[in-house]
Amino acid sequence: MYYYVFCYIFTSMNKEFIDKWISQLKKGSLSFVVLGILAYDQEYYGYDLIQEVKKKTAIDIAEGTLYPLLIRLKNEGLVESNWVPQETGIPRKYYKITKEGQSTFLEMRTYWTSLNQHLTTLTHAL
Amino acid sequence: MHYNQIPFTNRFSARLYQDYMSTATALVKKLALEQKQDILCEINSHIFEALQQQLPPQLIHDAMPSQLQEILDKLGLPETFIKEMILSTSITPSIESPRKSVSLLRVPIMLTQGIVNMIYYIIYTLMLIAVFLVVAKFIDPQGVGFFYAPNKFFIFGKLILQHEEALRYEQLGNYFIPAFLFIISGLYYSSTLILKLKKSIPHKL
Repeated sequence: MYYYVFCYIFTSMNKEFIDKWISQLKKGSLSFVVLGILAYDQEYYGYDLIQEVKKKTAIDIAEGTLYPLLIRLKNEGLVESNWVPQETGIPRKYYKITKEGQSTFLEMRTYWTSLNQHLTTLTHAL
Repeated sequence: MHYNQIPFTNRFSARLYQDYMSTATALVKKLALEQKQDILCEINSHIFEALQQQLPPQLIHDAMPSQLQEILDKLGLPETFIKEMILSTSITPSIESPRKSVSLLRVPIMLTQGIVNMIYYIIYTLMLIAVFLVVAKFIDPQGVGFFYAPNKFFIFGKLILQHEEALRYEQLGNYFIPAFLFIISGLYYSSTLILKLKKSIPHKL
């Protein structure tokens, strides 16, 4: 009985830890993902970009969380945006990567690849 | 740029949309006009584009409340993500004084956090005192109570010097413990409410 209770508590603690870790990982890699999507010289408006992140990464994010990130990327000079009027009367704000954003993304990608290789080696060794 | 409101034919959808946008407007009211409009237009555009994915353009204005609610749920509570947008906006390097806007924006947050913390500790202390008095009532049933006589006594707790006159004016009697259990549960409920409120306040820029 005590053994099962202990196992139950341990499993839930473990799950909580993993959930937190996954959430941090998603949050940490989101700027890399967004720059990666914008890196191919394509412009996206906010809603479209969120759908693209979901489609390409299977990351299920709260949609509102992407907008503060876009503002931060804009403040850093990595993306730029402009409002484009639409026939519907509701304009769209299109986001585009800057040259600085492109070079930052390439640098991030180099680090990511190297980290990925190290982690693959590490996990295969176990 | 000023945001064009989306007109809804269904009055519940219209109400839902108005409530959401009013909350958003209230949250951004301290920003500069341009930044304010930028955030509101962005949210408005997101709602409209999400509706466009669900409905043909000519039927967008007939959206049902459930469809709009789903979009707003996915977007998140304005109190959470708009606050983050505001904080991200305010750290834009400014030519005049970059640090001023940051510190000024933090003042209301720090003040709110301080007040909430103070209320929480007061409630927590009162709860501890109430628990202590319930235990004390069990140990010393006569010396603990609510002793009240107009213009003579007002003692709520434990009598240090028990004199007979005071004992005669005990008001709660056997209702002392139930009354305190009721007070403790009320305080406990208030403290959980305060904790929830505290969680909704952003901690840092």
